[in-house]
Amino acid sequence: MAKKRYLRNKIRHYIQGAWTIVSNGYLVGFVKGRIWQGDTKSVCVPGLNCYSCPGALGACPIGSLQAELAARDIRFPYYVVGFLLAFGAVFGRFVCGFLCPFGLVQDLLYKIRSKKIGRFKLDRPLRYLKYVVLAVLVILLPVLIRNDAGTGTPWFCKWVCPSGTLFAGIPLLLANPGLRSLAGFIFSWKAGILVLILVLSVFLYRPFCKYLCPLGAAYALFNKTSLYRLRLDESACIHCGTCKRVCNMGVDASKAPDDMECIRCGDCVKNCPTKALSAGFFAPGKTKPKQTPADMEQTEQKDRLPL
Amino acid sequence: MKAVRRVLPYLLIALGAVFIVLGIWGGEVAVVLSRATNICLECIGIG
Repeated sequence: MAKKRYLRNKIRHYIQGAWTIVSNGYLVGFVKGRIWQGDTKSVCVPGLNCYSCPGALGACPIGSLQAELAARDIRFPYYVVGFLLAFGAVFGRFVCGFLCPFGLVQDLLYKIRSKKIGRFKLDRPLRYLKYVVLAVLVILLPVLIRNDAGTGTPWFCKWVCPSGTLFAGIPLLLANPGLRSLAGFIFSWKAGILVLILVLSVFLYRPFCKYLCPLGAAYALFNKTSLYRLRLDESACIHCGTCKRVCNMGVDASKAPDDMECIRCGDCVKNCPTKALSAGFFAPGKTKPKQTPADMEQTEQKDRLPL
Repeated sequence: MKAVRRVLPYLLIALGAVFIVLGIWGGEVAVVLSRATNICLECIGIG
């Protein structure tokens, strides 16, 4: 079972890595300290992928949302919200588990052998912080606070986003001496946040995704209705607690397979001893057909076969 | 309620598509493109 979990995680990390490379394929940018300026930049990517990353071929949905909201003419940001609706309705937080470069970084850091922080008292209340970040830093402040020219500021990008610092700020400053000379307090502040999150990620699973990511908060709103989701066969569930124990996001899939915190990593699916959980694109509202004793016997026999 | 839940993701996808078209029609692509093709000083911690 441990081997199966290892293999599934490995496949997930390959997908994360491949997507990170594909969506940041302008490698020349890292060497020359400049960014891609082609038309693909008008299309939002699903994950938190800074558009000022030298390799980025698409636009970050959170950065784009703030750009639209901070523009001089305030209007409803149909374009970016459209992407968020479409990605969210199809994938939900599958994006967090499979298609986010900063999620991959945190996943890899958590693999470092160390004492891990499990569930703690403030864990669940702190999860609501990301919704506050989305509402206040991404939406309200860029709209409400304006400079003399009538434009707003992308507050989340400017003061918080560790993904922007890691994938855009550091590579650009390293390769571009002109930009390096401009770095001051804000860069130090953001670098401090990045270091704090990276260090925490060694001990605590995905702290940024759990507590701060506004994009994760947006996709979480779709987790209960997204086409890609977990499905529980209640007749097969023996309530052994394995799914809850193996979930690094602290979700109990036997009680809430469509929990807003689930990033669809699939650890629970692979570890479920009775195969009561499955992940994939399911028609909404459809329940898994009940297994007959013969089906269960067949499943057990299949599991006993050598790989 | 179950019927609503069944069609909701498809409605959301359709709504998303309509919003994207409305955004393109309203010239929002230019806002995103101009922001994304110039180095965002705020994003990299300079602005």
